[in-house]
Amino acid sequence: MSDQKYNALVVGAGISGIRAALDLAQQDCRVALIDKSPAMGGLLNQLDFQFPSTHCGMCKMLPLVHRDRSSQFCLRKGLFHENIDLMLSTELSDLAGEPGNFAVKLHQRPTWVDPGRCVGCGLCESVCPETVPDCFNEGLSSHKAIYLPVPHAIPNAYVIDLAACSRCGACEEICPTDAVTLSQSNRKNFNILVVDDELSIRDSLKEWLEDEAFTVDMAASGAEALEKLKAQTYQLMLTDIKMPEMSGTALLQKAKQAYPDLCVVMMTAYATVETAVEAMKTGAEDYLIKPFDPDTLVPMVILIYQDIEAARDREITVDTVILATGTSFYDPADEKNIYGYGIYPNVLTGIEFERMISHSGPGGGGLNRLDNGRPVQKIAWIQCVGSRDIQHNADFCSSICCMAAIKEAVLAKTLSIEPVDTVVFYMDMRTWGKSFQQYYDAAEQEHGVRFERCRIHSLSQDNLTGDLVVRYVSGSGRTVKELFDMAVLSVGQRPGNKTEHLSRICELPLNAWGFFSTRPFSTIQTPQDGILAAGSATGLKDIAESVISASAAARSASQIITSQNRHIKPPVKEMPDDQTTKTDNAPFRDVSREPVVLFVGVCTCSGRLNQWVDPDALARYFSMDPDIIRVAFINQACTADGWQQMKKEISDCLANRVLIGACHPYVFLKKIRELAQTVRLDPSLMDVADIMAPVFRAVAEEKKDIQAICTGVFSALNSGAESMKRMEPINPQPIPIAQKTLVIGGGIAGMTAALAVADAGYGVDLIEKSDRLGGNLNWLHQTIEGVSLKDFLTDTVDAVEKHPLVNIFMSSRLISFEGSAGQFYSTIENEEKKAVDVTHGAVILATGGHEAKTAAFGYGTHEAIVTQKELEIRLAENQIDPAQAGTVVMIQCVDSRQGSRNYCSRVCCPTALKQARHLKQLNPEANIYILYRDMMTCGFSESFFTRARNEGVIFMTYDRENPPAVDTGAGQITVSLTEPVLKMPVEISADLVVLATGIVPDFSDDLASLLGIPKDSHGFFQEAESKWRPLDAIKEGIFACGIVHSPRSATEAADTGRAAAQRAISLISKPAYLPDKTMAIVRHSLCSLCERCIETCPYGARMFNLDHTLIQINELMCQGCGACAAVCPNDASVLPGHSGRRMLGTIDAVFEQLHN
Amino acid sequence: MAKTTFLDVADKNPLQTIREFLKSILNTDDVQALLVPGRSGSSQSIMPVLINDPDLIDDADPLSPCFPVNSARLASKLSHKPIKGKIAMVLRPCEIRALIELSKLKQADLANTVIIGIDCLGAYSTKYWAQINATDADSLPGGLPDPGNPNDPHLAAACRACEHFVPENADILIGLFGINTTEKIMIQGITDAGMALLKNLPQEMVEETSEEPVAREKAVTDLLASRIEYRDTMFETTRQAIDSHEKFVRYFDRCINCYNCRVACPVCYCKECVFNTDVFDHDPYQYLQWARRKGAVKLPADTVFYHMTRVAHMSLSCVGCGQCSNVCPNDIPVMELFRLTAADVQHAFEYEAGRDKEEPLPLSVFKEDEFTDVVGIG
Amino acid sequence: MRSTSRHILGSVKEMIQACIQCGTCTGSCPNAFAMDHTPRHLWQMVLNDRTRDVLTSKTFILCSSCYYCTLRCPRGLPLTDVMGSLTRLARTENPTGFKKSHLFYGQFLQSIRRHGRVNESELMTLFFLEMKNPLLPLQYAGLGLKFLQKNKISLPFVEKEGSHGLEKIFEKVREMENQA
Repeated sequence: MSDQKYNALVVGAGISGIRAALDLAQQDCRVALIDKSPAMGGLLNQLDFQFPSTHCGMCKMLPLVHRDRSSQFCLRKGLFHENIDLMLSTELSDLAGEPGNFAVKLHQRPTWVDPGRCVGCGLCESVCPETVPDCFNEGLSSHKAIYLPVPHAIPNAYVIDLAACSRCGACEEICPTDAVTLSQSNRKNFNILVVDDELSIRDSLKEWLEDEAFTVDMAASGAEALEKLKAQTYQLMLTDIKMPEMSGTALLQKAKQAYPDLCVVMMTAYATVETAVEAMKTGAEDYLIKPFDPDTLVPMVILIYQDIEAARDREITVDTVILATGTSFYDPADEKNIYGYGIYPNVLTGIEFERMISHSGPGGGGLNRLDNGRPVQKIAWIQCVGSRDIQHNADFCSSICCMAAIKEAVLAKTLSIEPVDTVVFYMDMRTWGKSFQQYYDAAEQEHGVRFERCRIHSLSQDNLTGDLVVRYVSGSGRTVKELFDMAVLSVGQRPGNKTEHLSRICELPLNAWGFFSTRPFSTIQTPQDGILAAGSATGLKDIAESVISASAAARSASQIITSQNRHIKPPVKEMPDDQTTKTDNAPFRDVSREPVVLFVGVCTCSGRLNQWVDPDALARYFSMDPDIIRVAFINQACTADGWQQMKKEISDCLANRVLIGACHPYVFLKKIRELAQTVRLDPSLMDVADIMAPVFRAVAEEKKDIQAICTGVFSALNSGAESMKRMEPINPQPIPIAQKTLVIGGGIAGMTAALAVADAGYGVDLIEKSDRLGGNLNWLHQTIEGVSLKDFLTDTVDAVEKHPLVNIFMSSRLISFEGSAGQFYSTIENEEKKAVDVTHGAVILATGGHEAKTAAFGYGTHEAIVTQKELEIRLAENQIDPAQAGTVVMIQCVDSRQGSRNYCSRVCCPTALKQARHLKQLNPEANIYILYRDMMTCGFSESFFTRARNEGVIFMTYDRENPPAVDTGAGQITVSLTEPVLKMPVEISADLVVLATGIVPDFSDDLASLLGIPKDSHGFFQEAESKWRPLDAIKEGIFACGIVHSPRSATEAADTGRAAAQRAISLISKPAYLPDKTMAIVRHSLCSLCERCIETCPYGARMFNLDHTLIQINELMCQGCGACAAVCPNDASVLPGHSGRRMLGTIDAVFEQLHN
Repeated sequence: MAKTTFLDVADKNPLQTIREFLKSILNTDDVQALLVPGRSGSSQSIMPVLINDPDLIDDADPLSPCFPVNSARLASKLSHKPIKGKIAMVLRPCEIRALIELSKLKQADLANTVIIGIDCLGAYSTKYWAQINATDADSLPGGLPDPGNPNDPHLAAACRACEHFVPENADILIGLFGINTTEKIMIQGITDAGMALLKNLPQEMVEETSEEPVAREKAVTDLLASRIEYRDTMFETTRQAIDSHEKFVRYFDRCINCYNCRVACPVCYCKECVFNTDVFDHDPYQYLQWARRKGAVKLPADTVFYHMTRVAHMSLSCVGCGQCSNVCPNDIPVMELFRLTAADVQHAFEYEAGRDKEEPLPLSVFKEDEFTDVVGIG
Repeated sequence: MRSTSRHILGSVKEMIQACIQCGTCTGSCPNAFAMDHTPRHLWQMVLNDRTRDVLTSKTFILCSSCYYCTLRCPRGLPLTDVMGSLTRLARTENPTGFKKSHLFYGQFLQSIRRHGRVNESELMTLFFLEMKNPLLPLQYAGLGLKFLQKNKISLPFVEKEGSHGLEKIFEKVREMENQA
């Protein structure tokens, strides 16, 4: 029996989860977004700086269109979208059913603090006696057992770390709002059965647990235990595994059969840990390894107790599930701990370093040594700690650490007051993403970060000075000893903590490294129908790639929801009380012509307010204002009764403005939306003034100055009233949307995007410039995994060609383009110069790219010097005699990552490995040399690097300044270079030389200027924001996917296609768009046409309409930021609802005094 | 590169020489009309005149020390929409600078203008000029103030504090400083348009190209030094006059909200001022509230607010022409306050009103790295 | 030449094919300072079929089998074993070049086999005899005296052979070597 229906469950509220949830919510899907931690934001919550801007920017994910539906808050603080229910401290505990009807069990861990009541005053923290390391600061600082999980959330409610809490009750006593409930009276009713054949163990366990006020019984054997279980209800059983007659495992099975709700913990010696782990699969909750002490046992039992006693389990049904559970980190303090992590104080992980340098971190942004507090002068970054390390089951690259380390080094250089030396020790610098290479170069050349290509075997510490000693092999081959103040370990990633658990619940297979497996040609579709994955849950991704995969997952999820044809609208739970029949369909009364009638409802917080403020004086004061019709005092607005009274008062006086004086305005966000339905008054004409903050603050600071508190309360209320009085009703007019999408480019990305849009039920016009769909897949034959691309291509082409909603224009191009988001007018022309006019709400750019041409390394002078593309084609067409290709030399980074093409094309390294292995298979005796600069095998493709080496492919590095030379004299090709490790010249007589020339985009200047969007410095699509809005153009309504965005594999390109489709659909999913309330307008009669607003508008939402000689606003692009209103000297440009009079009146009201 | 020539002054009457020069400009094909200060018809007062008929050139009096309005506003009216040909405008340096500001604010289109800048000897207040003009009009041949005494105490304070007496951004410059104006007048073609126009003038009119006279540089430097000295004293006095909230309010004691300063301001360009609209309209209840809070409230209540609004809106574009003070019926030193604020504000943005046509208005551009100490980024 | 040399190093090469030249081995090697080629060099030479360079290198002779490199290698390569393999290979392929170390190790093992531990005086005496170089003892005289002063050299005394049970190990090794 489920209490609620949702369209989608998103597991994990990190950036991927948020992106997916927002994408779905924007399309009117109801989303349950859960996270196991008490705060949202995931890992990014801890990172204050992201390259290249060294800002955060998470808020840029918030919807730009329909933004009224989600409060435009900092996303690290909270997410308030009307279609998203965010449930924190919540985990997925069970899942059954099929797509369109999954029954989901959610398990919510209690925090013991009611977030609706907690005001974050911190009194509890000040009295709490227990101190534990702070997770948010990675243990670099500490917090009390009652603490704020993050420093900035809204609501910023305290939570209790139950494992640390000693239940002294001090917090409960001091809490001014009764938010803490820490009752332990129920522990007596929590019955525990201890089963062990050894009396001493039974006794000590009983003693320990009774000390904690639990009720404990004992049994000496399995049989006795079963007897006891029959006689009485137990909540928890602790059982030994090795017992004579009946083993603990057997007891577990029998007990669980008869009492499925019984919680069982296995106790075991080292030898049988495997049995215990096995037992967990058959229903045991956890296990303990003998011998253990009370510090291990008691917190575990308490956690179980809390879970059982207070867990709020919820059952919901959903159409689809998106797993966005992210990753965890490799623990460098593993059994070998070669870097002395946790032993040497100045050895930190990357995240710890980020916390160190954060202004909200333990050092307040200062960079000081942790042993003696002296300023840090020299820092080493050590790459690949727990990555690319077969000894640590990590034959993969964690993909993000190189850029993270570069960023951290640059941060150290730029943020530290003292000059800091920074050295990054690395094996390959993996600058595989858009703009990464430039950032790397800038770090080295502009900021002076030093890069040493060498892996560090271990760290040691000078015991006298505490300096860290790094011994490494320098570029010259010599062993060097260098001292550092601090070492930052770039720890690799591991599957999220709950991945294995979730894989069992969802019956999902895991890949060799424990991440969720996906279907071929997708990084988001799991083998299980209806279950999708986003972000790093399927492999390691940076922010931009996570955001892309989340949108792609949202698209696939949405497809499942649409196929079920059941968008669940947010339920309107409360119907009008007075049963007034609606006379029209408009949701709200038109009050624009009415004089202001303001109702002020003041919550007295059960009379608490009256201690400080005289209600009569308040009432008297406000009654003088002719606009205020009534001031009502409500005992407790947050209770059902109080709220009911509030509603009745408002309906009775027919108010057209409402001000509620209470605490926690965000708590009322949803209530006000409901109230708006009841009294049919636009919610923007209602507001909540926080009148309790001055009271709570005074209580917390123990400065109980009645006059000051009274003034604070009055100011809040008075300014709120003034602001509401001046609030004008806003009735935006709907603007029509052309519910079609134009896709430019018929490669795999464009086709996938077209199909995704069409499958959602919207028309697509697809332009392909050539006479054949498929783009690069027409010559690519297989993936690095060895999967043939042929079926993928033919299936996709087939689907596109047959889709009734896809209109294909072959051999065509765009010749004219006008309009703006929601209504673009394009003209498409074909080879015969026949032109067709089409209208679209959105455009997806998918023009792709091609292998770059080169004149380097003797290309063109000898037929045995070919490009990777030519090799692929020749191999596929069997034009290469393997026996003749005895020695093959592949040269990477030809013209790439240097000069005018200073970017990594990302696919060339895996392609070289693919071809090399292929050639080696054809001729095992062949000598295959790969000459490379940095091997860019990110993520799981690293394993192919290992395989290629194992199969005998020979790898040699070269650097940008000393490339190999190719000589074709006398018909014989000789490749020569100086081998950098041996510093010896190497000459290879090659039968075949293969050049990896990289990718250049197919994005002409003409097309860019036609679309009115800029290109990036290398001619690729310029995104609005490289990390948070990676597929959106700066111009609203235009999106990009595939290689025109950045070089990528076919699978990745297909995912960007889905993601771009999702972005486009969120714009065109409705036939008309109701502009957001906060949108600037122009009062043309006042406008002097100085155009400063046009120059100022950061969103390009304004233009000068030459035909009518006036300033025009694009409603979709305007974000209501108010920059235009601020720059306009005479209020010709205004933000309705934010008039000067309202602002000034509000400010004025703050300074008003209440005279009794 | 500027091209310098000289006009020969006949009869030791520079004004007449300049008139002839202007006439020849008006005679060129492209120039439709000439905007120049003068006495039109029976008017005795000097006001801007738009002359079309070259025979009426004797109406022009660009050397008069009378400066009743800043012509930038009028130049804006004449140029903000396309016209055929061009209008030549003889402007004071502060008028040119105001016009540059207005063009950035899209209130004027410089493509429609030929700007003839004239070395500015300063001007009297309208009141003082009326006084001496009524009594002693003929003793001022052409109304030329004594160039030997640029610090004539009767000059308007704005002029005495002005550092921009040599025109910038003119197409053609008429030079007076460092030149014996009873013999010669310097003419410079500054822009391509200006030089092209000079080329079309009759050959006998202008001498061969030559150098700027050496004395000019010294004259300009000396004048600048004395102007800066006056300006800095003025800034200091003003700063002291407003260094507390009370003093600041007192500064505007006599203001009656006549809004003359706004009307006279060349860069106050709004079609309809906020103070004429409903933006700051208050209900009677509001006045009562204020009276209740303070016990008593001075009316009109928003005089200081009005001036602060103007400072906020226009100080970045203020060119210091002094027209605000010129028109104040109650002699409030508005110019002094405006110039002080403008100096600080423009310095803060490394901006100078009227300096460069291409320089964007600071508030229209977003620079991530400015005022890091204020915004806390960086 | 190429094919034969490849063949010679073939088995060793297979052991280290997955090397990514990260340099961890050299960084961790306590003897690297004395080696003519650091371990990282050596692997690269093997991978590049520089057979002659490899077989004349003294690197593997200097390996003290501390297993540091093996422990730290991110590729999990059996580097210490490779050193051993190269030693054996060098001995068969380049007997003259490694005569000295070969004989030394031979006598070292014989001494252990006889006494259950190394008898330094006996080891050196037999080593000198086998090297047949009358000047050789002079080279070691200084070192020997130092050791003597510090009681680091046991005087020759006779221990009962076979009593220490090492024979079984030697038997096992011979068995394994025969199998190999």
